[in-house]
Amino acid sequence: MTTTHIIEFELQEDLAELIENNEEVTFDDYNIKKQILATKVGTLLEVEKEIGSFTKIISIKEVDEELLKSAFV
Amino acid sequence: MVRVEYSHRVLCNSNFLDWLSQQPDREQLLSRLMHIKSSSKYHRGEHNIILESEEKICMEMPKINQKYLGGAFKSEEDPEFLSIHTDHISKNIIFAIYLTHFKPYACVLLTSPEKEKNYKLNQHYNKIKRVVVLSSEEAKKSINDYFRAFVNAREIERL
Repeated sequence: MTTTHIIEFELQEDLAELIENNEEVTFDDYNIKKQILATKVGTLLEVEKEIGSFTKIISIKEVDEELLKSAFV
Repeated sequence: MVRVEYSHRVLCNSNFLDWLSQQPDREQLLSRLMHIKSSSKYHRGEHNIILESEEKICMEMPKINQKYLGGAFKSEEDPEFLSIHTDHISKNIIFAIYLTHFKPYACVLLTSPEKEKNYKLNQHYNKIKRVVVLSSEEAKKSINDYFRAFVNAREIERL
């Protein structure tokens, strides 16, 4: 099966709501779930997801100015 | 849940992004736009918009990584009703007016200092109040004001 990679930018609470309400969202590593739930409300995250049939969260990064240094070509 | 009723939707053109990429505080401005887009009460993920035709211009000579551009502005396919307009300025103004048909019924149109005058002189911009064309320091101020509203809402949420 071909999997689809997507990157999205979501606030912590929106991602937390997604994982609490959709059991078809899984994790590459269970620590990612703990990391999401431990992140403060209102934190913007870069979320890498893989969609096969289930959705797998591959990684999260906090969006800050350091991360965005790579945004400009 | 941090949700903010922003006073205006945000529409930008390629000239604004070109200008943004040259600002010393560009990372901060981009980050703030991303936070605003993600926290809108009525248009989460769609609060800040760029027309696809404008995004294409940006991608001809990319100065912002497309991934982060998408994090700050949702690309919206040019609606059919814009096809009668041949110039980009009219397309953007008409689309900004269209966005004012929905909550919060007002829109800022961000452009570059060089293009601001052309936008303000466009026949469609005549006498309207719900669309505001901004550039340069005024554009920065509006972004910073919206971000302040986000930070205030976030502080309340974290109490």
